[in-house]
Amino acid sequence: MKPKGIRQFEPLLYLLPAFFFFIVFTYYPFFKTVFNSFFLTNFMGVRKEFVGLENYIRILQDPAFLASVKNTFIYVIVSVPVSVFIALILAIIANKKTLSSPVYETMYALPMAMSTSVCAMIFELMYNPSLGIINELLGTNVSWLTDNRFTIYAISFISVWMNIGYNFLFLLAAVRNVPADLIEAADMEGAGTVRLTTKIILPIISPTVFFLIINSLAKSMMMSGLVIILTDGGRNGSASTMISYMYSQSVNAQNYNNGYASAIIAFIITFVLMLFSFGFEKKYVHYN
Amino acid sequence: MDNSVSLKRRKDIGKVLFQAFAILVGLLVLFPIIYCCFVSFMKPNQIQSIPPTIIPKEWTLENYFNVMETTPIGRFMINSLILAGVSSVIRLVTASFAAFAFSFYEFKGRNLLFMICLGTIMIPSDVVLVTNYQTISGLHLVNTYLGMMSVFCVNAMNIFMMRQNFLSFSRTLQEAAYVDGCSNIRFFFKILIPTSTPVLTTVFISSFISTWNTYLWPMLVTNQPLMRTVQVGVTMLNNEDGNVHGPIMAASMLVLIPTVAIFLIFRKKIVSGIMGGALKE
Repeated sequence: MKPKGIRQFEPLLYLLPAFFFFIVFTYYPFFKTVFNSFFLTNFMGVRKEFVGLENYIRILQDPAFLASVKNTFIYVIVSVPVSVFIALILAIIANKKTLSSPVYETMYALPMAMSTSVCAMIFELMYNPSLGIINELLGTNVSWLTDNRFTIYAISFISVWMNIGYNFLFLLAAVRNVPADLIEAADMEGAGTVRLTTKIILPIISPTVFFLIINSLAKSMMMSGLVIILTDGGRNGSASTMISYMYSQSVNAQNYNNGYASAIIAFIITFVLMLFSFGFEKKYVHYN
Repeated sequence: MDNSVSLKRRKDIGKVLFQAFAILVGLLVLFPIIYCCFVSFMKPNQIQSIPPTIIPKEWTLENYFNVMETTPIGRFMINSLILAGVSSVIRLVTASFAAFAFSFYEFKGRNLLFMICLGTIMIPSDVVLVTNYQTISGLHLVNTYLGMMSVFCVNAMNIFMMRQNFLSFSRTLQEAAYVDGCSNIRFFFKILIPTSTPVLTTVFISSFISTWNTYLWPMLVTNQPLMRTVQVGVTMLNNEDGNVHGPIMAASMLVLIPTVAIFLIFRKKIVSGIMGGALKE
């Protein structure tokens, strides 16, 4: 199959550009961050003195960091399932192909083309206590982005909205792959939409649901942009997440000691969560 | 006869109603965008009025003129275009060469190198954000296009997708090319790349949209106003006092238009790209 006389280094030459960037901007900074997290650093982030786990111990006792870990979890637990659930409803609505299918399929998918900063700006106005439309529509009088009790949920909702489109596309493809005779058989037995969904569609599409949950889990654990734009890290960390904490510690306070350690803790928590999820997958996800 | 006609008509009405419902749900999903659009055309006094309203009483372009006069939004657009356009092209180059090596060659350590490549997916870019900033500032690349693009020049998912695509390339065509004395690199440029335009387009479009939309990194590596991207620029409007909501919504619309347009035109390609990239193994 392969042409004769290929020199061994030729493919390596083709890999060079990609691996140059992988090494310089992914692996090198990753290992450097891990390494630096065991040192005291100055305001430029330069290593001064080896301190072992001291940085980790310090931030694990810092209420602001602990709050940001908690917020990140609330954020993940609220936004990931809600977004997948809404997308699933949309996928079931769009399941049957009709004349105007392309129109509403595009509408449901469109939020995925939106950027963090534009969404932040739009929702900032919508959440505005007096000028915003949300209080008006709900008949409430809440300062969504400044009241500590609501901020993290208000921000979660934005991210739910941003993720709907992506989740919808996957779920639509999955729902349409459910064999038609299975659905017909259930119809004959008089199963309603809800039973049809939970008993027949859901088990079959569970691998897709699982994939989406893992995927948004990883994204949501790293969530920071909306928080940084909308709350400036949140006064006393009421809405900060692990990465926004890392950002404000390193960039605003130039405290790289806390910055590096929080980055690595965020990485470890995400990594462990992913491993857990894969364990869960083996047990509960239905493959055919 | 009459009965079956009316039954059919009833079914048709049901179908129409269902589609109207589905589109209504779509309008609900898109409400934030529609709201942004409407506010951007409102007169300032309507935006400031309480209770807030949704539909403009009087349509005006005032907010758009305001943004264009008071901010270098055109320059922001050009910056974003350069960032997204050039780094997506570089991604195509790095990914197609790497995928070529992974799919058409057998060499020692190929699997290991492929694992190292996919391993980057496990390291989120946010975790290495600060250290990458130090690298860029150490190279004196802060406030340069090169500095902004540097972290977007390669993506393991792109390599994976293109490799899948190349693996399905017709072996007979490949052998025929070699029999005709086509060298490897000629085969790559003259045959493989031209026949792979669908996957190349998909990779380009999805990477263009994602780079156009990024916020944190471009903000971190720029501090001169003229080097800002649109995403950063639009949030900076926020810092001025007074009546800024109209101009911010107008600026948001301007930022949205390119990605939404690309999304609408290339919807099928983008969808197949996302799906293809997600099918692991």
